Amino acid sequence: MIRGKKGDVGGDDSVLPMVMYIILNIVAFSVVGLWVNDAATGGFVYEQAYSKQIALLIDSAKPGQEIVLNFSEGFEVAEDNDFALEKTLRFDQENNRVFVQFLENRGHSYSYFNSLPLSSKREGDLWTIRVGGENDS
Amino acid sequence: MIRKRGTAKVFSAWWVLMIVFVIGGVVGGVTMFYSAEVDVRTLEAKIITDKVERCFFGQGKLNDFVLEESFDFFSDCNFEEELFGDGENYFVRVSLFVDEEEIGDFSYGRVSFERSCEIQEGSSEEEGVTGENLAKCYGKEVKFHYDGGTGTADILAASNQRGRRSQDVLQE
Repeated sequence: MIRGKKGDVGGDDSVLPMVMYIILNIVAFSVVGLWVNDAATGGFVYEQAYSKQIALLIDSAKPGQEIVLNFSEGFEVAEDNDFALEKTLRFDQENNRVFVQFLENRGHSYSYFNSLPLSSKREGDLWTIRVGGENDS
Repeated sequence: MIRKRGTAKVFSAWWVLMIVFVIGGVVGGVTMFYSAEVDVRTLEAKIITDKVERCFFGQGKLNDFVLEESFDFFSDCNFEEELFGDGENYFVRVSLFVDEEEIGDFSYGRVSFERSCEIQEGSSEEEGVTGENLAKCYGKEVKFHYDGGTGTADILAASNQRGRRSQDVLQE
């Protein structure tokens, strides 16, 4: 006879607790994984990247230059959030700021120091920005 | 004799605590990573110097209008004047030398950024100091022909713009 063994009398051979444990772990980490994926592909990453990229391109552009940008990734985010594609890129020319937005009530802006006037238009997944007026070249 | 079998406690407070720490760490790390600002200030300063170089010089020569009385840096070089005020985020300085004699010196924007650039560059006696909140600088030296001689232009630019997340975005 061996005394002092710990454990429940009769033991418990049920696998149910272990199965529940595994399932709960899978659920918990799946939720985290989905959240990470959403954060990585969400709007705020693209908003910052696009706004800074566009501002720098405008700053380095010569008069009459056209900048063509592929916004397909950002448009995907905008469409997922029912946000109008025409509003994803806008300029405040009075204060020299470019706004990029893929969700309502949020976006990212960046200043550009080029004083030339800007015009923009969207065709499909592309935004085209013209730096300078029609007579500039 | 009583037969006993050991069992592992599957669900315990330690398991819950472990899950909270792991998930909290993942969420915290991802949030910090994706909310970090991409720093393009040095690139912006470089663009300023390149733009100034294109404006001041053509085909290796100093453009004539630069030294004229009527020269307006902002309208002639297409820079937005309001963004180069003393309290703003940019600075640019252009010093022109011919045969070691200064023939022109142009300086616009937040003057204190020039000192920030000097601090970061350091000197032969001491190392430069870096700081997240210091403006980022870019300088270049340009050789040019002028009046039969050769000149040197020192162009220094600095930017400290961070960009803004806009809760109140541009309204139409």
